[in-house]
Amino acid sequence: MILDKITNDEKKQTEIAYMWLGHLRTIPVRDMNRIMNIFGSAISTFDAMYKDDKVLTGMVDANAIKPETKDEIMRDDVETWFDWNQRKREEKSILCVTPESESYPSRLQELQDKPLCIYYRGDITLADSKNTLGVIGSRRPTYYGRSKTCEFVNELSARGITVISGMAYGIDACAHDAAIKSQGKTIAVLGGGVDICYPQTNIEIYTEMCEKHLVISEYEPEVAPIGVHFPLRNRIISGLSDGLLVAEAAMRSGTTLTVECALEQGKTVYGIPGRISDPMSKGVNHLIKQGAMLVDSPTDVVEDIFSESLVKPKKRRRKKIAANKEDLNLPPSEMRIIGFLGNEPTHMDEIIRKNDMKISETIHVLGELVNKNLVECIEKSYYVLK
Amino acid sequence: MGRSYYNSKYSDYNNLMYSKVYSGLTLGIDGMMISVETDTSQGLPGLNLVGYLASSVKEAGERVRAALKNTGVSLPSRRITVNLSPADTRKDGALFDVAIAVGIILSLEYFDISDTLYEEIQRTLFLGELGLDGTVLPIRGTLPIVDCAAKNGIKRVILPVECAAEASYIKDVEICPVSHMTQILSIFIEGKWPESYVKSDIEEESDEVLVDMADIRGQEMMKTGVIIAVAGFHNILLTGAAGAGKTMIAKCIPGIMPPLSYEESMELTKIYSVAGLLGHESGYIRTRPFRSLSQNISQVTLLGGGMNSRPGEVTLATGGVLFLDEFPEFPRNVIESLRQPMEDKTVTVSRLKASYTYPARFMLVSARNNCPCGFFPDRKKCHCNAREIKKYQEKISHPIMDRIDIRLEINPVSYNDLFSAEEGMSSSAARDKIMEARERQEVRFRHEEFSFNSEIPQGKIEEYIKLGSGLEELLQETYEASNMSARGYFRVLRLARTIADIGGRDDITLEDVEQALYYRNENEPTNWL
Repeated sequence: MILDKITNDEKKQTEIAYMWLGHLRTIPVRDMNRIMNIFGSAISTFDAMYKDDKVLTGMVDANAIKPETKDEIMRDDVETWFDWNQRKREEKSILCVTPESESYPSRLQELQDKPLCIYYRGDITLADSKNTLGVIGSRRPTYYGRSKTCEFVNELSARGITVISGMAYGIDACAHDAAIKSQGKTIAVLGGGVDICYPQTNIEIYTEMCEKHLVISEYEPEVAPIGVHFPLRNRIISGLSDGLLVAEAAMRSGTTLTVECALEQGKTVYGIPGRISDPMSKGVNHLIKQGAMLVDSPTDVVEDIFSESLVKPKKRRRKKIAANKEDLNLPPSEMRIIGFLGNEPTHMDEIIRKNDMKISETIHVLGELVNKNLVECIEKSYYVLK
Repeated sequence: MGRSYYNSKYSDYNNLMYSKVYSGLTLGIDGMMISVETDTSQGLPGLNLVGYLASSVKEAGERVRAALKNTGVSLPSRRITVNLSPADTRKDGALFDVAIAVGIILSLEYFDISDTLYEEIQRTLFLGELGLDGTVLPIRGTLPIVDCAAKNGIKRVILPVECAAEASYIKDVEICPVSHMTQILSIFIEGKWPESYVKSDIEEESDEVLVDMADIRGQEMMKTGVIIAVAGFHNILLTGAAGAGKTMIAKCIPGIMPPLSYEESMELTKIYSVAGLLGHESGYIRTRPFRSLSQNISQVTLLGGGMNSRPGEVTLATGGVLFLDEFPEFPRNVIESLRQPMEDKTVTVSRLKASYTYPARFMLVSARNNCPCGFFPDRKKCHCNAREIKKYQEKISHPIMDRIDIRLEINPVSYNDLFSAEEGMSSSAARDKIMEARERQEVRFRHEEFSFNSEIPQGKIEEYIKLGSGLEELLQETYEASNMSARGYFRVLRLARTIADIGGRDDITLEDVEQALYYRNENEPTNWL
């Protein structure tokens, strides 16, 4: 047996078999899981398929695998591959788990297309956290989407819920960032090797998460994050999550694919609604119409799935500010602007015209409000209520 | 007298003598007198020109010979040597043709010239290019040359008709325009000088306003910002989505600029004269320039230089506006090369032969989008991701941003505004405000060389800009909290001074400083993404 050449330990052999089967790029994971069920175990699958022309030809004839897969296996050499893989993992301090190992995330075991090997950096036990929530959304969110995501994640992670997302631009990055900032735990599922931070702009989040949180991927080190990987990693995001929160999504976006996975896996989907006229919220609103649960506060999510055993957050900062608005004793001009501003970024021109104020006065009042932390200037001349 | 000395000592009385006439050239935007000496002697026949000449001057010999022949003066078989002195200054251009022709005629003694006429000729400046048929053709740089000549005791200038208008602004000099060599010959034949030029009194006011500010509805913020910029000559950057009205407001700027002072006008006319861009009719620059640049501009056209060391766009925009629409689309080296002229208000062009310093006192008006697609911050239309937007905005480096006092974010006009009946502030109202602020500055800087708040040198800031105690603290706070540079700090002070001037206040108030800080917007927060 070829695996004996590498190691004699049967456990180790199973692991290598899983890893090898998982590294084949030409066969869908779902099909590989099915084949493994037929052969019984990873080792027997490996033994049967590894460079056995007869078996492979038979499988191609029976339409179980594609001819490309046969070619890939025939070209491969398990010993050199394993050497390389092991070296890379040591070099880049990446660890891996396979379905047979104890630390393999239990939520993924039930998946029909469970990843055969998970490479990770960080703390793998996070994947088995008691309460997990996937947070997904647009890669180019509006200010509303961003601020709502932050608001939800802040509160949910303060209550001890582990937030899972894909570390892409926009909502993903925002969710990870908010979770890190509010001392919660968070997991990123990547569409490439764990050693590749994509997109590069998230390098701060990535570094932080590799140390204190968890970054996982079913791809080997140095595998490029290409487009086709992303829909596949979405099934891991939804698989790891107890529920899926959709923050903001346009129609026909990648988010919808993740939602499909989640529904297939029987997870509840929550949607933060947007305005009906807003194309950036069309997707979410559509999901809600289809039966996703409408949530307008983090508590809605908590009460729906995590009702038992959740720590109450120590502070509820937002509520406090809102309640105290009247007590702040603001001058009338400041009160008026506070009343005028909302969640939508408002340009200075509009504030001036609608309130019939002078420019110098408006600048002064807005400056005061920003100093008092009631209003935020999100881009030069654009203001929102905090 | 010199010529009789040479006559008696070295030559036959006939046809062999020395003569000297004056012409001029430009160095940068300054004029310089050139003396053209001609000597005729026995020897191998020929016409030699010496004196560190560019080929355009060397070729003058052929032009002059043909022009003289075609006006009836054929050169004899003599050795003629023409020297243009000072001999160590590089001479370029065809503007010495007339002087060379006159020098040759004098030295050949074709005509009997009285001593008084010779004396008069010694106090005359000859400018102009010659065509082969004897026509006198226009030249570049008349004004600075005539200005310099007047200061050096020249009383009369013979020049091409087309250049008469601009030269007529120099006082104490008689301008005698000529269009053909025959008019010059008649000086020697009949002793009659060409009719002197009479400045026409019709001052055509070019009140041509491209766009009136009243056409722009709403957007008071933007208008106020532009008014402040124009009043104090501050650089301005307009940022906003495509179609928000950036270019439109920029086109309003010429219509609200304060008029030029005499000195400024003179300087500008000199520059345009050297660049050969003066119109022949008016001959004088009365309105502030508005130079709109295209994106294919090179560093040389921007800063000046090239073969003939012509002034660049930054110099041509002196006293006026240099407008760069779609700022980030300009080549990076072009944008960055604006740093030095923006700070020093001059630009030095170093060439192999000499280096010239041109004025570059322009007001930078630039416009840009927030992102490559042009729609940000409207996320419904903008498909750019955070990285692309950041990259686009970083195309304008910090040092350039630091020199821009007013950075406006422009909101696209809403439908209601577009069709609202009420008109915004009109250009004439804006001009009144600007003139008021301008007058205050004129009074303040009457003993100074500069005339705008934005030009107050660092050393004189304390003298002209006084802050109350509370304001210093506010500025200090902002200075420490933001990544403001020392340059930025002083620029805020100058801007606050202008804002107070517009408001008609002698003291700078808290609101002025707040507005200045707001317009300068040191932090450039982009929390949107």
